[in-house]
Amino acid sequence: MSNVRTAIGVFALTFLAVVGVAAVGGVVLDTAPPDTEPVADDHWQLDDVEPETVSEGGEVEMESSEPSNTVVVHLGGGTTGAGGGLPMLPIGDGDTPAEADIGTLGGTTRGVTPLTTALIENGHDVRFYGGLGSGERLESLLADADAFVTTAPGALSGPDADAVNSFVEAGGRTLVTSDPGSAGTLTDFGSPFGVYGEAGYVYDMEHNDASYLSVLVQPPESTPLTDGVDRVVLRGAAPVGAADGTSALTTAETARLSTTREAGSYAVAVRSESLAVVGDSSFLAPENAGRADNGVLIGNLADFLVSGDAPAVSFGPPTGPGGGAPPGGTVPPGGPMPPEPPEPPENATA
Amino acid sequence: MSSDERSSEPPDGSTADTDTRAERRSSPAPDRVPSRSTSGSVVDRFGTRHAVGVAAILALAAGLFVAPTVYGAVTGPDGTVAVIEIDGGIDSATAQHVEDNLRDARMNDSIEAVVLEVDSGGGLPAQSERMYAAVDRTASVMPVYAAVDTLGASGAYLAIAPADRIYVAPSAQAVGSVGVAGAAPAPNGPNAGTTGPDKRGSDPDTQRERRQTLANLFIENVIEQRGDEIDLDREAIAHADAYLGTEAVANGFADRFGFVDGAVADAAAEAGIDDYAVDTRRTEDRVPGGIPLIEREDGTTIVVDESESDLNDDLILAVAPEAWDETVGEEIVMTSYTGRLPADHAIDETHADATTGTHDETDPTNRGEAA
Repeated sequence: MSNVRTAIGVFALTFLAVVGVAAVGGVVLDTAPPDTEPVADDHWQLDDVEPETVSEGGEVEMESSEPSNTVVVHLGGGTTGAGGGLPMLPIGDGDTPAEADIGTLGGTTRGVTPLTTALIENGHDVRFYGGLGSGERLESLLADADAFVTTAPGALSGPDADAVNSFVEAGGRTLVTSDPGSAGTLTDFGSPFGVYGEAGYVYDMEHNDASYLSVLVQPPESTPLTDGVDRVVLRGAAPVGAADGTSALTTAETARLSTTREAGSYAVAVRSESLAVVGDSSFLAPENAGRADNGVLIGNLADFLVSGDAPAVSFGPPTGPGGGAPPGGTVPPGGPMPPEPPEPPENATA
Repeated sequence: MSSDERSSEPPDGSTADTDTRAERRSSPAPDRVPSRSTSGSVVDRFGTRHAVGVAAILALAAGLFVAPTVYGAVTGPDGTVAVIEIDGGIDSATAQHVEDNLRDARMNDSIEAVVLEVDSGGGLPAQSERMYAAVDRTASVMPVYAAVDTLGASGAYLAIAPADRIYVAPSAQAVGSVGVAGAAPAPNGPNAGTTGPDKRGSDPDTQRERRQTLANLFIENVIEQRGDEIDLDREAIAHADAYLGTEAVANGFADRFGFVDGAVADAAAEAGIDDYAVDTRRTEDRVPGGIPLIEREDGTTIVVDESESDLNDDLILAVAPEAWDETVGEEIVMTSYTGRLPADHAIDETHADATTGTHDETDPTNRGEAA
């Protein structure tokens, strides 16, 4: 029986030894998962990643005390322009956003209200021209007008463009804002006056208002158009040029042209006598008129439109919508242009 | 016969051994009782020497029982390299998959290194950040390598930026694309159904600033993780170009050419395990349409809602243009500009001006705008 006890004792001791070694070994050898390093989050603070923006709250003020002038404003098609009332995405087939139809938010006039408001506040008349088929002909409007504004030169029909050409030649002060994508039509329109548009758009990765497209532009020298302007924000600017090489507004040297990607200072606004051209129309929109010195620029442009003598323009007998004969022989140099379509653009106001 | 043997059970012990063996061969269990009752006397008889012999036999049996396990432990892999897939559009499911598996890699003692197998053009920024953080945390305790084949762009690039090394196929088509995209800023109309003017969306300036803030976060993350490797300056990174594999290795967006197998071997070597196993963890296959209920192998049933997707046009997305259609869907068009719609012939003019294949780069006009 003593052997049995011995065997039991040996079993118990061995068992305890094995379990004990396993327990002690587990305690000794077991390690917690390695300590991970926390994820660095210093560079996530808002102060570090918030984009630089320009000042807000600028106002549109006119300085001129001219008697009442009549300004004709042409806005192209039924779009509302940069910063307009139409949500841009997504628009499926037949899915017209409801916002576009609400009250005064939509509509073609919204994009220039800061300018038209300033004009009317200072006693001037503003008349809108909606393109062919909108009732009164542009020629008859211009015959009584002192100034003309278009934010879509490409939307002018052939006869209308010719009428505006005659108006400018006669000294009628004209403001043309031409967004990217309209280089060809701007050149077509402006070449008699030594003004052209360049393809592509400018962007600036450094000097901008929270977006590479929102370039900050400055006047290279003070002119009546840019008096009091330090810098202006354009939400999407096309380069424009004048034959005499002058420019009213240029980008910083850090800007680049989309087509060449070359950095440099690009002209985005020029003036050729009674014609002023800006390669962007967004600065006229209500959302942008208060940014930086946009309001000052708008006020200067309003002054430009109503200053000086009324143009002595006379239009010949109407050529009719299908005529397309260029009055005054103002065929632009550089080769014949394709005949203008007689019908109004599809995007004219329905 | 057994009754004969039982009847002839010997009175003396001289033949006990033989008889006991015969009894074991043929007797039923009750017959063992008398034999067991005599075991004490057998032990006493044979003494300690025999007890040692029995113990040796038992030890041998136990050893043989344990030996395969020991052999397996000695000859088995020293560690495991986990291969974790990042595939397709990045949404919550993708982030959970990667986060869970990386957490497991950190907690599991046998996993010594991780290789991320990447083919994704990005997705939601925050989910990409989740993966970024998980990769960063894991890379602090073990080698984490990433291997990109066709796409490792935008949100996917953000996710793998903290990896210790990025391999790309030389013919990878989109590596980088450090930026975000979404609908162009636009004002909202009056809406009597909301309790505040910003309920349907903030004003365009704020939208623009927030979008740029998201882009800056992305850029800063990349610079934080790979600023020393990338040869380009901040402005060039912010251009958000997506590079070919060959370009990515040249400009530092990636470290070297390679594929998953090479990355696994290198990760194992870096972790110091010559003999390693590979544990591949793939994302669940996208469920084909028309199958609302799926029964998994473990018996659970999941409900599949085809229309469920985190990706939509109301969000700002970290998606490379190469993967836009695949990730977000063809019905959502990425519009890059809110300018006026030019006249018809102006559009034609712009098309003639286009110098690259990407329309958005050269013609920033809003083609999606309704008249």
